Amino acid sequence: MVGPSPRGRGERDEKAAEREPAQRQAFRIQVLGVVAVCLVAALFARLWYLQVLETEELRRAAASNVLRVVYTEAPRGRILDVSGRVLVDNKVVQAVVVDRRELSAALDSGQQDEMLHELATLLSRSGRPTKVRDLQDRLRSEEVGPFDKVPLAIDISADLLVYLGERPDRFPGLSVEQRTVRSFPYGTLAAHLLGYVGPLTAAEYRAQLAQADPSEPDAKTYQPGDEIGKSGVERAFESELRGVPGRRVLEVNARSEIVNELVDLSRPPVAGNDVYLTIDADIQALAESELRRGLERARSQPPPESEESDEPDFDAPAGAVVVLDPRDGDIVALASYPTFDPEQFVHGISQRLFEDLTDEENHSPILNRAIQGLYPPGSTFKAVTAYAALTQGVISNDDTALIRPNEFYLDTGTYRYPLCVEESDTCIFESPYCCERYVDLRESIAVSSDAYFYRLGGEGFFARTAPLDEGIQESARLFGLGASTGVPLPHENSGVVPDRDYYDVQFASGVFQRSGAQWYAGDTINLAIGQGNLLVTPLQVANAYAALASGGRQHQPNIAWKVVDRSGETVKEFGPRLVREIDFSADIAEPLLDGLNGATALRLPGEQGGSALEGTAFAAFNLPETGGVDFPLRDWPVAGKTGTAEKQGEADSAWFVGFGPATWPEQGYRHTPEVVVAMVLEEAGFGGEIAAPAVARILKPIAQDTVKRARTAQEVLACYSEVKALVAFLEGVYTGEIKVDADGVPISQERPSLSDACAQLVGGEEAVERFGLDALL
Amino acid sequence: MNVTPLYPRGKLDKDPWWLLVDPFLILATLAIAAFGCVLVFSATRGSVGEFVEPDTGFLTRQITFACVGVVVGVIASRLDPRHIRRLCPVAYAAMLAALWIVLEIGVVVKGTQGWFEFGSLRFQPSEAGKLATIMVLAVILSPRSGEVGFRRMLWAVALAAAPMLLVQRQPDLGTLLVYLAITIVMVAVSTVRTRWIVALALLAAAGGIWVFNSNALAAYQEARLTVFLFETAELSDEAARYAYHTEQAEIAIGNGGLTGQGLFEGTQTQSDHVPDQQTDFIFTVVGEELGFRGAALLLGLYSLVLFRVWRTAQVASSSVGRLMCAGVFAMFLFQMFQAVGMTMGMMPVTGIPLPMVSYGGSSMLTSMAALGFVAGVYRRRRDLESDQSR
Repeated sequence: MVGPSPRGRGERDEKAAEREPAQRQAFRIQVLGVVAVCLVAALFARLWYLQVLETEELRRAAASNVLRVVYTEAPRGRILDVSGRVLVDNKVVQAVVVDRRELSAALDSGQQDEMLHELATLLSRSGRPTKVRDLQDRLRSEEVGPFDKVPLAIDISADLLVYLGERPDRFPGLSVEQRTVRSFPYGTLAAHLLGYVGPLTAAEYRAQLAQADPSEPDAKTYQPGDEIGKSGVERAFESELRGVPGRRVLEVNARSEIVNELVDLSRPPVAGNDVYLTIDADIQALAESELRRGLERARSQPPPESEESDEPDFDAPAGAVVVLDPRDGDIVALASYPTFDPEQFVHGISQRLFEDLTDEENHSPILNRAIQGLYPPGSTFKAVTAYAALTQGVISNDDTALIRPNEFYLDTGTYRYPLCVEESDTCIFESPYCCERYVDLRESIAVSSDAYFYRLGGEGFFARTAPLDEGIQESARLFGLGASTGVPLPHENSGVVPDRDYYDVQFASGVFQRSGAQWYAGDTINLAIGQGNLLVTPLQVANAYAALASGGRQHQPNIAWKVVDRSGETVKEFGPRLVREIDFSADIAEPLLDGLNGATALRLPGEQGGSALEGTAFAAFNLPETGGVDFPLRDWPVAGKTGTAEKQGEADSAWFVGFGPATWPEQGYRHTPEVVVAMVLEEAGFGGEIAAPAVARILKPIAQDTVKRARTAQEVLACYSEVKALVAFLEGVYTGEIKVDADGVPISQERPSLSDACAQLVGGEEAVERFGLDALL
Repeated sequence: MNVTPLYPRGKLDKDPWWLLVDPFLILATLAIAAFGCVLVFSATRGSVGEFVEPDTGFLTRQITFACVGVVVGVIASRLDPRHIRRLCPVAYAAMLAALWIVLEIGVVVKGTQGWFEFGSLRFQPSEAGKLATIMVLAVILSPRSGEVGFRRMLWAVALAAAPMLLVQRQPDLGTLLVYLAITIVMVAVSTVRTRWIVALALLAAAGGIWVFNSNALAAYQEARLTVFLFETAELSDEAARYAYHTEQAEIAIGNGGLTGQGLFEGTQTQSDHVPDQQTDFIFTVVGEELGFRGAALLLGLYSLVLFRVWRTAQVASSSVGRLMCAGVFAMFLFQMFQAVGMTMGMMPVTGIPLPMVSYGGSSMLTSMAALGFVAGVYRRRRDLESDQSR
């Protein structure tokens, strides 16, 4: 006690003073107890809250806290041709990737550009020409998630790897990863058909989430940035080609260090299945090279001689070809021009490059014209018109018919529709091609008489009462036109068979000026020769002629033969799918087949100053001196039809479609046709002059079984320097830099020769003399 | 003192042994220590696989600490108020010296310079300092006659403030708060008049506000307090890390549910998601692995200990003993509430061990010695006031 005891108090007060502090203390100890009880009760309450009331939510948090699911992408299945040659494979490459967050933490945007500039220089020097712009585009690509590493360059050289690895300070955020990418042993072969893969976009990610099968969770689910087929076979057979991604379920701690792996929940990646196509790589290569040569030939034609000075040039920028087996609908080859290099997609295609590929100014190289391109079929459609006339009583031996099959008609090159109400241009239809000649049905097909078919369209069909007047359209649909063929490839176009209903729809949507009520004679007459608003794809034309080739049986065009898993077990096989069988009895088939055979084989001497009758493709199949081929038509007849499709303001597009070995009733040849080839060359000129020779050159090696083996990109590369040396020599001789003596033997320099392998590859030194470096293509 | 001894005694030896010991206190203490050993083992055994033996190093040391602690507790129970009066100046001086020296030569652990290192052993003087502070406060707040006046109270506060300032220099906010809790409770339970307590409280409140607004608190301390006080405030990286720790601790406890994930089976515990699990956050181990039942059992044992300490304070025969019990009560109550409350998001994150459960020799010995004092007070509850004063 510090202070003195209070004085002047009694003994009682002192005793109370003694007692008072003790009571005070006892009371305070009790208060302390109450406080303690409250605090402990609070702890219990909170414990109850967390462990009993909130436990569900916190348990979920705990589960997601600890388990990390790591997916490893499975190797994609390969794509092989019909004889098992690999068209699309996988390869493991070194990729330079960059962590964007790390990069932007280390360098400002100016410095980043400097670094990219240096990297582009290094890459270009290492043999991979790279533009700084492309690297910038890739770096800013939005297809890569914010936390994923962005691939800048793929498949870089070992030297560059070491160089980059030694300079982390100059290339912050850069690292090298192994990646599995698509490889293309045959280079650009069948690029459109095979398609390409790319990283999953946000939209595709959402779409596949919506489609995901709840009964089989995450079996083949995609993670953002996964590869997915974007076009062609890669897309159509995505579910087969894509493997089951491997999954590792890892227990991690707070620092994301792996503590444990839950083996029960983990599974290894399963490679995707291989898809065998019906494509034959050799014929595909043949078709592609003939398509390209056909276009080159078209471009080298003299400009169209015409009084009209504004006649457009033969630009021949694009084309497509389809080779189909009519017996089962298997597509043997399918090519489109211009083409693209699928390697470009492997290296992560830049936005600019992709725009170039889709730009119509460049004729959209990415477009697969064989199934997406829409063209008027031109005269190739006459077979359908003839079929319509034969089956619907327009041509028959009955008296009610317009004309008998063997009856001759005088083709003066002009047709006047007799029921025309008033005299005007729309009543007179001219054929620019010929002269006066007598043709029956067979010959009208062989020589492609427009007047004969104008008459079928006008007096034969339009003059009939509805709905019989739309008989041509009915037949067109019967041959599969105006509807997708069902080929298992994405983005197929279904084309248009115009009729009154179609006009109504187009009129209602403001596209057409006329409605179906204003369907005039001219519409049907033009339709009869495949003009007007009729639009078809090359595949549809090939498939329509497949029906003619196989006795009326039409199949769904097929691209895939079978699916084989990695153990070699066939998982799935795609048999032929018969779509329809049309009436193809002898009295219908014979005139048609005779006519189509006549296109390649008919040549009658002219009578009394009259013009000779010559099949439109006769030169192409018989006269090598005019750019055709000497085709063995006696052993392997070809039934075909040329077409020249007109489009306002452009040069005509050239068509040829043919099949063989064809049955030729007139000559008594009976065969089962094995291939149908349809080719269209845009803005290229006459079908008979341009398209038919190209098809003949495709059919001849097939008929004689001398199709050259397709060359892999590697073989071509190995041969490149040899051919280049020879070409340089030949140029030297041509320009006089290299002197030759009278016999053509070089004096100043020895003539380089090709190795055997190389000579075989390009088709001998003559091929190099003729085509130069192009012999390699 | 509100229990009058039935008969005054001069010598304790005359009582039978069963009246001299508090079986509840002793059994509960031993149970908690054993519980703690199991939890420390669970937190430190590491990931055990087919070829990986569990790490028993922490377990062995913790058992050793507990055994030594029991011995220390028995010795402490032998000290009577006279010893305390004689001992406290020495203890107080030793504490100040140790806290001073540790600032010079101490080892830094997690930013706190508070440990002496002897080979593989570490000693934390601020732990033992709690006992010295309790002793000196108990003595100074037990005047030989009359009540505690204002000046004596200020003396007590000043004496308690000295170690606090030294602890703050380490800096160790958690321990500082324990000292503060001890001081507040002991002053409050002393015989000082209520108005002086109120005056002191106002002074302390003003001081506290000044400390928080000034730069006296280290950045990390401020961050922890900020997280706690303003949950949705924009957090600095530092603060976000503490928020993360609290969240992970809550998830661990909630993950336990009513029955727990099973011993050694807690995913949060075994995967290191919660920091400092064998020490400050050890309550999450019992929460996750043994669930509400186990955690409530542990809290129940603590409550029993606290109740017995409180009861001993009531029946103590000397003022020094009573105040010591109050100090020990404050120490245990605060440390438990802080260490448990922190893991459940009720208190800010400060490094305070859960007495006798958290791994650590200093804390274990201090807690055992403190309970030894209480046992000694209980033992002498029927004694005549051996102190001359009362």
